[in-house]
Amino acid sequence: MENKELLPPELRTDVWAPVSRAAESAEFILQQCSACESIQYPPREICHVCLEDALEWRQISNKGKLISHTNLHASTNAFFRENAPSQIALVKLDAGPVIFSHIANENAQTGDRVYLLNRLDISGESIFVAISEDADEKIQLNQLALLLKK
Amino acid sequence: MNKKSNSYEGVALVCPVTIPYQRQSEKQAEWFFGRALATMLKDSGLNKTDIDGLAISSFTLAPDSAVSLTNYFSMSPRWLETIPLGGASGVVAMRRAARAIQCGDAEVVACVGADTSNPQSFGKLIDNFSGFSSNAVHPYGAGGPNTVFSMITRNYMEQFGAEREDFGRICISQRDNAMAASRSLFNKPLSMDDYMNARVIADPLHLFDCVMPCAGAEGYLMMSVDRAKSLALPYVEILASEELYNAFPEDDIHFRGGWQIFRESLYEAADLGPEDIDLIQTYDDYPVIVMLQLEDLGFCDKGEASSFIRNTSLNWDGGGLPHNTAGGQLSAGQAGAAGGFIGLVESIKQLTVQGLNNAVSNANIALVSGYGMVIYDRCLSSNAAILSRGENGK
Repeated sequence: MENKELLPPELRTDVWAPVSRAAESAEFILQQCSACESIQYPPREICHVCLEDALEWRQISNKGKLISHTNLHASTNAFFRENAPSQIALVKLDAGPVIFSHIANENAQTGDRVYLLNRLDISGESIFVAISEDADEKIQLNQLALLLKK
Repeated sequence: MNKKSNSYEGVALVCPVTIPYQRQSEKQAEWFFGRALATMLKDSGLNKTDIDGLAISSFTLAPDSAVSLTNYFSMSPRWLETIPLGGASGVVAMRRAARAIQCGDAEVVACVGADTSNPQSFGKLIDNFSGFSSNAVHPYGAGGPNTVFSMITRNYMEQFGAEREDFGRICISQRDNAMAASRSLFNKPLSMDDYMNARVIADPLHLFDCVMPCAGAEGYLMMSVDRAKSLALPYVEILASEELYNAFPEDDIHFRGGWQIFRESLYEAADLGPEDIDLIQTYDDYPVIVMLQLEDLGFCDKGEASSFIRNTSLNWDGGGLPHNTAGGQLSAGQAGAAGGFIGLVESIKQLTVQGLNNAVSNANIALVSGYGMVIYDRCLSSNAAILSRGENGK
């Protein structure tokens, strides 16, 4: 069998494409309804509040709070199994949505203030990384060096 | 908010069937459906042509479907239903079939959840589970439910003071029940040390907090009470049942389900309360979800399930609240969509079958609770049914 390089999964659907493009310039964008102003996540085609077809990608505040977290030891993906454990966070943005993300700060606790960065991983997929507000961003991103595109 | 449904009077559940679970199988899902149907016919004395309705659930039957099964088994039902609700499927199949029988759209309905399991099937299932997961959960290596429920479990522990040992008590009790029912996939009791020292999966979840995927089938027949009596089949009646989807979407993290919203009308329709329940079968994909159901169905207050479990035996013979008396999915295994039927099938067995090794004494009333389909950060379906032993049962 060919010894393929292990990579994080690539399963995204087309609706995600704008987030990936934004990751190239490290912009954090989410969909907002131009009819009712509701902010949505995960990405979709129809506003979940007013059901209008009026969603626009906009720069939204990336600040929020850690509401739960885990060290995943048994990923279904070979890359993450090989590099286990990986720390995953659940972040409640001040803007509303609840978002899964990577997180590098090993001392992160529920309730911590964080902000999300939109970055490309080595598969070329955009992923969110939660950065603890009270620790150095560069050091935290370095923890994820294996995962993030150089 | 609750509008009253018509009663489920006059409808009977009979012939609970379990096709023994296997960790892996070379057989296809159709094999498990076929064995379940054949067993039901044998147990009921009915002919294949008597079954004029079929309700099924399966993850591994695709690309085939309910209608494929009619061709495969040479059946010509006049009523056909597919319930794609995972752990909520058993109760929903029952509810749909009950209305078909009451309205005359079908006379005898076979309800079956069945799945096979092989090294590829679980990965395929979670890779294609939902669009939201593909975009917003999978890329983090967090495919499948473990990560989502580790988040929910940690939150529950931090909010309400639950300890790992509390989840352990649920898992140990279910292993005891599975051993008594000869249904354990593990073949030995679980000690608290085993539980606490198991390898970590996604903390705070460890190995025995997670169900083992396997192959198997669960099912039952439905018909009118009159028909059940004329066939001299012991039966169970539906005193009340409710279902609700996407309850509490405003909660940032899942700590309660639809049960909390409908429990009052559920008990009111049955004219019973939690104290009248002789045995309960909850959906046990993870022990924390058992706790949510015990709370939301009124056995204790929100956040109090840990202390309830410390003080109440959940064993089939513990004199407390017999719970998941066949071992549930945590010990018998998760046979795909059959996992949504195990609680209902075990309830029908407890209320109709004589000589069970794990028979709950004086069991007349059972509560079954369903829960299923994690689309993003929680399961979205919740339901429940209160069942009573029929006149000539057991």
